[in-house]
Amino acid sequence: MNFEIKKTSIYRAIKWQRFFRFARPLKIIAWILFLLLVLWILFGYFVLDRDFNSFRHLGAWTALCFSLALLFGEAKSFFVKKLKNPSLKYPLKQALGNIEEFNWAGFLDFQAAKICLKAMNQANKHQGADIKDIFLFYLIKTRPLDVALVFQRGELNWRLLKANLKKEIGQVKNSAEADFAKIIIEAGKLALLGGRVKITAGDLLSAFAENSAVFESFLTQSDFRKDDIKNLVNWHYKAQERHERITCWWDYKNLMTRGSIGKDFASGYTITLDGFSFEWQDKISKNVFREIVGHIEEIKQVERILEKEQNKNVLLVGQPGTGRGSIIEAIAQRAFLGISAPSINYKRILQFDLSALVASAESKEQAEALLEKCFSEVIKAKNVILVINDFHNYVSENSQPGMINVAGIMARFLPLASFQIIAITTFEGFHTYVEKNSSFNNLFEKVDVAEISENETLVLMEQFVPFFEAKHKKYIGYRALKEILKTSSRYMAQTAFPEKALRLLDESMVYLKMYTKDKVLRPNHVRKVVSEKTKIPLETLEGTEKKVLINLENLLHERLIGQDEAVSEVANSLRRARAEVNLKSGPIGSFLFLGPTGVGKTETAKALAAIYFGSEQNMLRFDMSEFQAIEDIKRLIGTSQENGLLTTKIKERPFCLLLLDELEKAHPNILTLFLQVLDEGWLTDGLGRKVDFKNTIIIATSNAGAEFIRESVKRGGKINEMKEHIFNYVFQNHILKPEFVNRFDAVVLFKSLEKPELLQIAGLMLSRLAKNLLDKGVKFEVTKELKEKIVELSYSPEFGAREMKRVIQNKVENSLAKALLLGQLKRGKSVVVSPVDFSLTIR
Amino acid sequence: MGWKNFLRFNFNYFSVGQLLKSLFSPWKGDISSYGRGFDAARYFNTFLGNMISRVLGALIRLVLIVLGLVFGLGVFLAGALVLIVWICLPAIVVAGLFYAIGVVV
Repeated sequence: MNFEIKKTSIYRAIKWQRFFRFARPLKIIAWILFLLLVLWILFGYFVLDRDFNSFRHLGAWTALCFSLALLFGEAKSFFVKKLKNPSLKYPLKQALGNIEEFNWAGFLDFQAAKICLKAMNQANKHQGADIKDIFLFYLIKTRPLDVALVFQRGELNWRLLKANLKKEIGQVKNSAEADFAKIIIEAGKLALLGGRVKITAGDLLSAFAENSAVFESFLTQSDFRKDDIKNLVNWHYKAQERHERITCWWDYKNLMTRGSIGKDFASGYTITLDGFSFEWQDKISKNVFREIVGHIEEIKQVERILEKEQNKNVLLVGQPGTGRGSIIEAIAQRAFLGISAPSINYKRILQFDLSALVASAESKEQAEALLEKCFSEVIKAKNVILVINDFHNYVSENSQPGMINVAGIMARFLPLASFQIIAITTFEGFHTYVEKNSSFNNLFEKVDVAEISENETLVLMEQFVPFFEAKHKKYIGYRALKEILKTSSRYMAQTAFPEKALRLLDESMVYLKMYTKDKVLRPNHVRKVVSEKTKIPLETLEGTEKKVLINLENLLHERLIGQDEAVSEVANSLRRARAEVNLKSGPIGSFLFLGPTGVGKTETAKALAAIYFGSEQNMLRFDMSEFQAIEDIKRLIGTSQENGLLTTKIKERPFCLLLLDELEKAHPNILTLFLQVLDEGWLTDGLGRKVDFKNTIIIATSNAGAEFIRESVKRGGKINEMKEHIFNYVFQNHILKPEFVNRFDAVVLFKSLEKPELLQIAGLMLSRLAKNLLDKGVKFEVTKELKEKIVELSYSPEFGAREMKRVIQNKVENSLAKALLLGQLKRGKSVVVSPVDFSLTIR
Repeated sequence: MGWKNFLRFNFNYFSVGQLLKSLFSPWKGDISSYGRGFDAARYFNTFLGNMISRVLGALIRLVLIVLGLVFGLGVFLAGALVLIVWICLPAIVVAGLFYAIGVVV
């Protein structure tokens, strides 16, 4: 790779910098002297009343200062514009296509070139050291503004990195030159991706994050990712670019904010409509440089529809908070600047406030008359695109008080060429109200608005950071933004991106300002706000999750007797999933529990819900035998008429354990629904909304092959051997499909319970009873004989320990309840239950 | 670049292009319908009203177009002046220095 800084134009700037750096201060001094001399001449002439000719000498000095000020000003301008920014003969893109042909040092900007030159000079002194480390060292040591800001925003300790690098430079490594070439090319690619013409110091830093072992280990130590460095670099350059454009008052976009006159001379007046609407362009003109993040396809689609000859009304359908408004903003911005389609340019985008119209009218008839008038004005004006938010509220056949059904009146106007509308609705509203009126629906072209990605949300948040920082006089750390993304994605699934992230950022800043004295917004502040909002103990959860996972077997065995293999399999599988050993996008964990009834499958699920999610209440249980018909899919995922039993509950409580009992009894198509949930971690509900299952643990239970397990256990078979036979049995009998079973993280076999285990279970149940009685001041002594009797009465190979609860209820609890009510069993007494006839001996 | 932006903005500000395209359009789209059937008096009355609206529109537009052109010319001349000064600046500096040094020394 050709890399010779001394043969580049930028080298001239580095060489001459030592002289040109005086140009600015000298220019300022010359201007000050010039002003002082002018003032002195004026003072002498007007106040001291001197003759003008007596100032000849002083005038020459003034002319000298003026000429010098101009000279130094020109010199500075020449240095900044010409020497420091020489134009490239070939674009970076071309060089990336033919790497060997170009001198890559020529693509560096001034700062990057200066650092590289310094590093190359030093590299000769450190023979044998890794050249990458030397370059990175000088990058960190010089710390130009862009690199310094990355470290500051990311709260990274640059001193530590510098010390690490210094240590490494002292060691002999004999690195290959190819390694350095790789960094320069990588930096070139990153610059191109970020839309920069030259390679900057920030691009070099991002490239080092990818290719330097020392930097990589520093980032790991600082809990930072390589991508975070790239994000921060891009954030900085974008903000810089935006700032430059805003301050460049002669920029065309900036000049355009002054508006124009005469564009509406041919358009009719909209006096009534103006009373019930606001113009989007008024908002746009205040900030024409706001970058609309995401929704590129949707914006193009809307423009295409508005440009059409027929059927040019848009119906934007999307979940609230997905940025439907920003699509309108983008359209209005492009129309305002005249860079949209010809028939959209310079049109007025009016947000129509229908509720204000209804409120101002005294009767329904008057409201309809007003509406008709507004629509007629739109037709006459010919330069209006109407925007109606929450459109579904105004097309319902059963209009609520304060609402009006506009469908009838609007249907007459919609086919007209000069009537254009962008209606905004939700999926629910669309399916419930709009879609049903097919002739009305046909007058619109539907555009689905999807949620923007997490990366796009991050870029959007970055745009809002200066606003929040200025408002609250606090600094926002990059890690806080990442935490906002992570927590809002995980714990606030019911709201969409970007709204949930922006709201959380806003709320976190308010929290920081009102309740803390900290100056920087950090992840712990965000977690605190999320905990308060969602009632999920995030701070403790994140801290205790590791402990829970490590001790999961012991914690489960506090509630569950036996089933060692099953418990260990669940625990191992969960540990694998949470440690992200295997990359998966599904739920936290998914298990299929197979085994006879009454052996602890449900109890394990309950115990897991209590341990992992804090309470048994966080378990959603579905008896799948209730979903045997294909029509039952609607009950699970919902329709426009009814809420989905499964989807609504998961939306309301995304952080839970989902128990699907007797899975094999559900209709096969219902099981197909769960394929995607297990694979991707989400499901689309009956209204087209995405329901997130990523924070759930899914446990499905089945009795399939129970008889086989019982027989095998009797013969002393081992679990692993049994599994293969069970699978064969289940697949051959078409009870469950292999593609379904394979999607679970683990298939766990629960064996039938033997007498010693049953004795322990009886002991556990009776001790719970004893604990309850102790609260009433009564001591209940549990004897071995009693436990044996209960096991004897309740044991059946078909029902396992299921009967035990009933036997304890009938034989023990009933007698104790009677004695308590009769006053025989009082506070301070102790009681023993006879194993023969269950009579009570009270002492 | 800035000069070009000012010129472009000027023509956009006075909407010269759009006004030329719609020079004879009725003022504020104010036009009456001739209605059904033929009634000479009504037809003449409507025609006269619409014609007045068009002439009025054309007059106001022409005023704005002329204003736009005048300002455009002003922007062009101002830009040209700035450019000339910019080109001559080194000469001004040198002349200033020579003059000042000549007097002082």
